[in-house]
Amino acid sequence: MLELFLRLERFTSRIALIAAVVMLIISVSLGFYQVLTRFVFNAPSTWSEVMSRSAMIWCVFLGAAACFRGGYMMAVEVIYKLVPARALVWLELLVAFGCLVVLTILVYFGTLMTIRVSSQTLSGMGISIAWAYAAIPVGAAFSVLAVLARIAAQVTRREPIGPAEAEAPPEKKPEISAAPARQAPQGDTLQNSVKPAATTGRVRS
Amino acid sequence: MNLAIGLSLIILFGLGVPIAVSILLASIIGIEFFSRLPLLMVPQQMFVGIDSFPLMAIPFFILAGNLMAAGGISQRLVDLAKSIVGGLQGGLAMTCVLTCMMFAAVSGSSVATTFAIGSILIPAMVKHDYPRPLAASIQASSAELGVLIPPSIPLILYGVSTDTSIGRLFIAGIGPGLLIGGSLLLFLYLFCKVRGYGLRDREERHDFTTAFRRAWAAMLMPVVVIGGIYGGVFTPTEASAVAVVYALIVGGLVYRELGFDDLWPIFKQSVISTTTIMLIIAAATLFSFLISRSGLPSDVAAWVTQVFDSPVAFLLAVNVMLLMVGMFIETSAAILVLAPIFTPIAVQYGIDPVHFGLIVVVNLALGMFTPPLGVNLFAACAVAKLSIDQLIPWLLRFVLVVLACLMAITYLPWISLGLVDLLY
Repeated sequence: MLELFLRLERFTSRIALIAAVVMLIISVSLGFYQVLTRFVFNAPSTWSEVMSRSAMIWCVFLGAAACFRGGYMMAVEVIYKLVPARALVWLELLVAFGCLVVLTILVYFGTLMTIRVSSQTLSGMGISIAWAYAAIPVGAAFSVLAVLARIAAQVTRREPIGPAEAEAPPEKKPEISAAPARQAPQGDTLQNSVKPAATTGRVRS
Repeated sequence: MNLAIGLSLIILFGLGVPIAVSILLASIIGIEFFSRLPLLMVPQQMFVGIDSFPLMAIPFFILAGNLMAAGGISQRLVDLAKSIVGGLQGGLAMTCVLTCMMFAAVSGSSVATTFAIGSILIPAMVKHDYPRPLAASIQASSAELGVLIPPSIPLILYGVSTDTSIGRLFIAGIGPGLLIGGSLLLFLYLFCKVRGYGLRDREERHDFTTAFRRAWAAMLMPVVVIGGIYGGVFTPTEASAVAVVYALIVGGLVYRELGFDDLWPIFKQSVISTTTIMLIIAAATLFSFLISRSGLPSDVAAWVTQVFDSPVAFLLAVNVMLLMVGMFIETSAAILVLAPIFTPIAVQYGIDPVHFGLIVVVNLALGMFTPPLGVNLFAACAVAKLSIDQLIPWLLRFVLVVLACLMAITYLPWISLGLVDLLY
């Protein structure tokens, strides 16, 4: 039963992450397209900025599921060092409960808000602004699954407890972690991309 | 209501609840139990908070920085910096500062700088008999330049939250960035001379022309970005989108180190960094709305103007407060909540908002590598494989150097504004 749920969640979170990446690409492309239309084609685009903003909103809320799942959300993590290891699971439960309360409110009131604004249109386009607002309840719903999966996996000892240890080696565990601190994985990809260069002899030493 | 929100916020932070969730939950408690506002405004304010074109420069610059870092610029910038200062005693330590200055002009985040440059230069410094904690301290403090030299994510946030021109803030960041970079260089030069570090640093150096020929494509990016914004060719956000495309071209076609396989991790990482920052921004928008609706900012302003009778006293109080805040709270959350409250007060004291923005950002950035907590510190420790307590005695010297620079930047406005006045 739990296995099934975890597999389902792995699927939904992956979908959300892929969609978020696509939205980021769309958003950047539209930003660049706007520059092109103004300078190269000399006819400034009226819709690209609005679309680019809406795509970014979708990117942010869809990306939330992956952040909750991996524990990448920035938090003040001093308490993880103060609480004895046995009690950590209760702390995780408490944090997960807080996240679920906020996410449930976002799903419920986000949906209400989406319905409420459905008669307004995005400026410069004939599309309802509800399409952009819908990112909030949809992203929050994906995140609810992600939070549930993370805490379930932690309670059943499938995954280690504590902040973002899944991807970062133990010594990279920060007490306060800010977004950039979560870029530990990026540091790794970077090292990987630098080392080959060093071995091909294109680089000094 | 403010008391209830403030208390719940502190408790939630302390419990280790994610910052964005803590801010939202505290605001929800305030709305539901201490006001007559509808909860509908939670999604509404969050939407309004991130539905902003200027703000989108942040995710785009994050993406551009990640693409550049993976596209092989780190090693090239290290070689270039080494060809310039590597000939001196302590040249490797100074190379670290200089590389961070150049990398900062491509990336907007200091922690990204630590990972990108530190992973190359910390091992190199250790190989040349620098003590490991010293190497990590040099890296942690010079990476701070990443948030000052444009493009800078905290400066964009300050600009958006206080309606200050991001273009001017970027130009104003150059002076303080050069001052801190220069001070660190000078300090390291003297320190290595006195302590006798880095005697072998002359070895394995490229000559300047070779190094420059390999690195110029990367160094052209800040020229395009800053030149484009200053010349009025494009807005900061459009510049950041151009930077993404430029990074793709340089990494994929010029340096040929960026393949299709590398793109997925880069985009995934960029989405995660974007989401964590933007959700905090969304939550802080709701929070700021509640705070300003309750009239707290004008109460604070009235109190502050009563207590501090001169701009100097006010600035000193701001320095101390931001240093403490910066040591514990994440920079973007601190800017979004505090800047809208304190900037109008600063203007009342006759302080230029652009100058004040630089004070805020330098101040918070100093907190990022001040022990015992600090994001940059953890990043540098992670790269150097050290624990924080081993680092602290070495680090304090650098904290003092930057603190001296902060004082200069705070009380000598022309360091920030000189270039702005010259250009605008």
